[in-house]
Amino acid sequence: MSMDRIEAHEVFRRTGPQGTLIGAHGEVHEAVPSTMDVARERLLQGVPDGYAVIAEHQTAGRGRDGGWDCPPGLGLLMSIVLQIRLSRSEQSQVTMMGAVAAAEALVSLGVPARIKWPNDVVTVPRAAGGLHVEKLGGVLVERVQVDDAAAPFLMGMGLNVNQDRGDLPAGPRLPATSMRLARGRRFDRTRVCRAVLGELDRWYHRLRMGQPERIMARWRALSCLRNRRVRVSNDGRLLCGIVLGLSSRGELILRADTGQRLVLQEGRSRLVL
Amino acid sequence: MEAVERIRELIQIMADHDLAELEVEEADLRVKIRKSLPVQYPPPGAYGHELPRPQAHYPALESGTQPEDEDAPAPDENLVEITSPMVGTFYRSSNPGSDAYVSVGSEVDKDTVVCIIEAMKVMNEIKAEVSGTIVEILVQDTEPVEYGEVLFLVEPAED
Repeated sequence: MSMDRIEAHEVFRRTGPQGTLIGAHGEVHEAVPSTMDVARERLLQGVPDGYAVIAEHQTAGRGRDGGWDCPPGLGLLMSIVLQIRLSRSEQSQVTMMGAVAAAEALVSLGVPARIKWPNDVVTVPRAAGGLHVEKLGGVLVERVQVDDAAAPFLMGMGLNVNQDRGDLPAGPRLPATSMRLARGRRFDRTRVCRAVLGELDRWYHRLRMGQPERIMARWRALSCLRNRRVRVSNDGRLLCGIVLGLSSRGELILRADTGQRLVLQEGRSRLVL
Repeated sequence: MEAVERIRELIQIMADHDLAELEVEEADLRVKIRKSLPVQYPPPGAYGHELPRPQAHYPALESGTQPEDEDAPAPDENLVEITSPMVGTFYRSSNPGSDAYVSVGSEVDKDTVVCIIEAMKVMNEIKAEVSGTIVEILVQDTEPVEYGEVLFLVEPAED
């Protein structure tokens, strides 16, 4: 099987729209332990805002479910340095921005991507009864406390692009899928990469301009959960109810079956699908 | 000022969704907002299915009388607390398979990362902000933590 490569000279174009931050600078690696580790080194070396680290393969990827497992040359693995200053109560905007940008990029390429609270990019195949989603990718953010004044972000993203069924990991909490499986054709990963970086740049500008409400609005529109019946594990309790929406801090607003309206914070609460 | 804006926003959420009450607990705010109309409250545990909890045999907690822990040792006044700056999940290492950032006996300085607190998939590095030796870790890996909750006790280094 021929394997395409993500071409750095095609990904990073200095001739993009004026003011491009994400997609202007970066590097592409064959294999690294984790793009997050490289991005952290670059951050401490003083790279510009929006600097991207992309790898064909990770040997020790991040993720509480054991990392993003991806055979070389089939997915998209990247970490972006984001120098934005946000308070702790605002930092969930970075996670939301990543999910929105990834989903928007995939939609622009013809893949019907949606977002599953809070950070998964999914498809929702038509299935009888219940909410069934398959995971295309996800976003994970690390905040680096450089000093008292600066705590920049590293945004990690993993997307399944050209994986066939046999290439996908078994055992993660959500069943996995890929853009190829969702659309029945292979994708040019350099093009996918540019689309994702372009959307990230667009939404990052909005965040920097102090317009997080635009990100939240798009997040809500792309959410696969609105008005859906879900079960949520919350501090050891199982809650059942209907998702009403999302607060500006990214909490899930749930109307429990008892009639109670609850605002659920990620971490304390996990969706049980 | 931020709290006032947040409460205003929560009231808007209540209006948007026609909610009778709203309870929010987050890093810098704990608030319960209720319309003046009488509201029916389900008994504790009535929503969802109660999962077994280790403390379930403590009926006294339900009635609001906190049992005194008489065996608790007197706190050492020389120890410095490292507290959680936010609500989230406590992780002792950067990855599930990695070594813990610190253990009891570890020497730290103010820039040593001692743990991660995760909220909304943002992994926040928490620094010791004190020089000394870790003498106690009060939270288990992957447990939820509150704002201001004591995570570590540190015996400060002598200057």
